[in-house]
Amino acid sequence: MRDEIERAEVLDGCLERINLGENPERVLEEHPDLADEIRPLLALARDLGSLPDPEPSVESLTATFTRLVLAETPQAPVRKRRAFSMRLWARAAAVLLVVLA
Amino acid sequence: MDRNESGPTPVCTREMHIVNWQDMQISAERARDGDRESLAEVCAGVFPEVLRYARYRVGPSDAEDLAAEVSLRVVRGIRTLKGSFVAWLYRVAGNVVKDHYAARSRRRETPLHELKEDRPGLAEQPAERAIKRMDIETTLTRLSHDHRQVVTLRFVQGLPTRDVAEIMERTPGAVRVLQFRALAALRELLGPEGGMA
Repeated sequence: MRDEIERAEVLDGCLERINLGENPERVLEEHPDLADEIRPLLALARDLGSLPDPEPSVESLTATFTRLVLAETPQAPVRKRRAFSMRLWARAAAVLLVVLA
Repeated sequence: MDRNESGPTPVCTREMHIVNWQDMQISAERARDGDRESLAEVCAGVFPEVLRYARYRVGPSDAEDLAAEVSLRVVRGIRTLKGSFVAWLYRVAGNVVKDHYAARSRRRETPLHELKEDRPGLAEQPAERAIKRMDIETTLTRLSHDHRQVVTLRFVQGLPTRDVAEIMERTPGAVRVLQFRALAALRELLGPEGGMA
């Protein structure tokens, strides 16, 4: 029975190689004594990677970028600078909305 | 995992996606040096990543608020950036999560196990698969802080071991052992039918 550190190294090595495109079963064939233990962990790792991306609401994005604009705006803003900042953040927000749409 | 599948199946599918952290490092350094356009670029670029991280660390109901808080701390703290931006970002995010749990603990709220409600994005999934995803997501909340952190960073976010080691301030070897234990613990909690294989 291999110790935990060795098993952890084998798991990480398998993850690494599978991510590079190797067939999981081929990789596991090199570790027959650990295959039954590691196979379900690899499957779980794959499942975790395929969990869905959350979809932020427009309200949330608007609130977030409003807070960021306020955070980024100096305490006593020069009018011209503030206008520049608002434009910049509005553009970033628009880009983000398009990306996430 | 299907033992009969013929082609290779990526494990960490997110390893190859969305944010190019090398480009982001350059933008973040420019932002640190005062380039406001780069700062906007950084915030817009990392927001989806931060939101995903928050979602799988604290659940869907608080994820947007936490992602917003992380973005705010990035804007306020970017001038203190030293070294790796991805490590710095996730350390900031990890601190926001810790603060969240500390505040919740002070309010004596019950742990988050309400994940089967309010789940945008899952309605269009085939029912069985969606249920298994819910199981995984719900079970994640039962892991210890360190186990959940390593699982989220390594597999949900798809970060390489070396980055996770820097974020968690551990050696890469310690991260490998931790991820092994965390996956085994998650597997144990899910039971033999757990997972979406």
